[in-house]
Amino acid sequence: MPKKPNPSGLPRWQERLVTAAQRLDLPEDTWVDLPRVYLYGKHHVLIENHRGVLEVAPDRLRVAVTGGEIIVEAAHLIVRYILPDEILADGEISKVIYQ
Amino acid sequence: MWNEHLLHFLRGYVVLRLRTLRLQRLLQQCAQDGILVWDLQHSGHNEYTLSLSTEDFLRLRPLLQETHSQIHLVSKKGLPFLLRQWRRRWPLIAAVFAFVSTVILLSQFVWIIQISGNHTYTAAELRQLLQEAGVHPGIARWSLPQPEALADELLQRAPGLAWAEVEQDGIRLHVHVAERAERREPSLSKPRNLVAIQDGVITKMVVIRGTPMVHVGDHVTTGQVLISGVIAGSGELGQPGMPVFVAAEGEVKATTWYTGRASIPLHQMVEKATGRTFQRNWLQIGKRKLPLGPQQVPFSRYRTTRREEPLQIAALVLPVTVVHERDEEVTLESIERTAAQARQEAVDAANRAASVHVKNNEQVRNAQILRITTTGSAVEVETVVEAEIDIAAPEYFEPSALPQTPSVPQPSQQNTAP
Repeated sequence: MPKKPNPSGLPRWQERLVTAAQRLDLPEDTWVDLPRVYLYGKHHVLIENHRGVLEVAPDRLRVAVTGGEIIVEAAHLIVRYILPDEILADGEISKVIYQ
Repeated sequence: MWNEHLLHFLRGYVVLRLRTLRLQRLLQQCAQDGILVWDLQHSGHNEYTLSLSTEDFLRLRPLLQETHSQIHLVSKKGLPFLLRQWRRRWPLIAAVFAFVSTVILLSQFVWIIQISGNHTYTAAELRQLLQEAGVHPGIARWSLPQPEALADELLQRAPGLAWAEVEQDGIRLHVHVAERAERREPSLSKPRNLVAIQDGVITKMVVIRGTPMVHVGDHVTTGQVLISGVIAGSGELGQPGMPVFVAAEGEVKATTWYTGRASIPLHQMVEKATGRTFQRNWLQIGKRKLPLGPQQVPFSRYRTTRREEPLQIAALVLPVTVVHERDEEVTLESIERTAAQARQEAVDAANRAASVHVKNNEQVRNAQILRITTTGSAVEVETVVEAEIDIAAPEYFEPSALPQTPSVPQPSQQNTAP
């Protein structure tokens, strides 16, 4: 029987964990390796719990995360640093897409 | 963030241009090997610029081969590279270091002692007293006594001071003092006479200690002894004993006269300000003038007032003075006086001239005109002013060197009673 794809793209056991966490009123990212994205105004974006940089272009940054990828669209984009679990990028950010 | 920047700077880093088709793979490898990449930017078709620490740069090499990437070194940054550059200029670095350490060393001493608030004590006197207390220019800051202790010490050494405060500000020591309204009289233990400071007629005499030598109504001359500090000893059985030397004390008032003279011309040319002024400024460096703005005064006849400001940068007083000079244009105006006007003005001026010697607490009693001379062009007046003044002043003497014997003054008849 083929596996039913999940809307979040997470494995089923993690999905359950998330549901459980929600029921218990716990922040779900403490339970699972979910990506976190912080926007500091218009110019800085911090992505935590990433799985690697996919693409660096002058107007676009693609970062792999659990269950998909995050695309940051920005002018004059520059990646300030890449740490094992954290990426900081600067630029004039126009869009942050999760897909 | 800033800490990381500082760390990168201190450890040194390189800026690279990277040409690769497999950026994702390369970055993944870097992350796996713990190579930290920062300031990553797309800079052309499949070209990126990025920064790496120097150590990581060496570890990147094998990864480049693996991902078929090429790198090109753009620049080396950070302290280690700067130091390498500077190593060739070591005399400069040494000079800078020597300069800084000299300044730090010299700033550990007090070089300037500033004294303010003194009127009767001269700055040199106070400096001398400080020197005796062990404080002089060039003293190390750590060996300086506590400011309060030093102020107390100064007060003890200078009895004419009412208050002192010592403030240490870097290489400067400010000494603020306040003097007593009147400098304390020297001790009454030293024998002294009271003598006349002026010719006059005694009007009042109160003797507290000593032997009176004159009486009310006597005419005295300058320097004459009024109250002697020598008291005749009263020996046994009317025999004269050994004299006693004391500090004479008392109050002696006398009427004195002062003359004053003044001459007022009938025609006079006086300068009168027109109200037009001109400002000149310059820097005075030793004997040289450095003009600031125009220096040519546009008036033919003028009065000047000058103000000088020493130039100062923080604690440092420079040998440069800013001079502001204000020139006031004046014109000559003639004044005509009648004989009566001139006479009145001359009398007033002569009285003023005579009264300059009279102190504030002494009273001018009477003023009389001695003489009026009228010449063709001026009126000359001489007046005399009568005033009652305190006439006594102390005059100290050494008892052993005293020529006079105690038999000279005979204050009363008691000693000579039968």
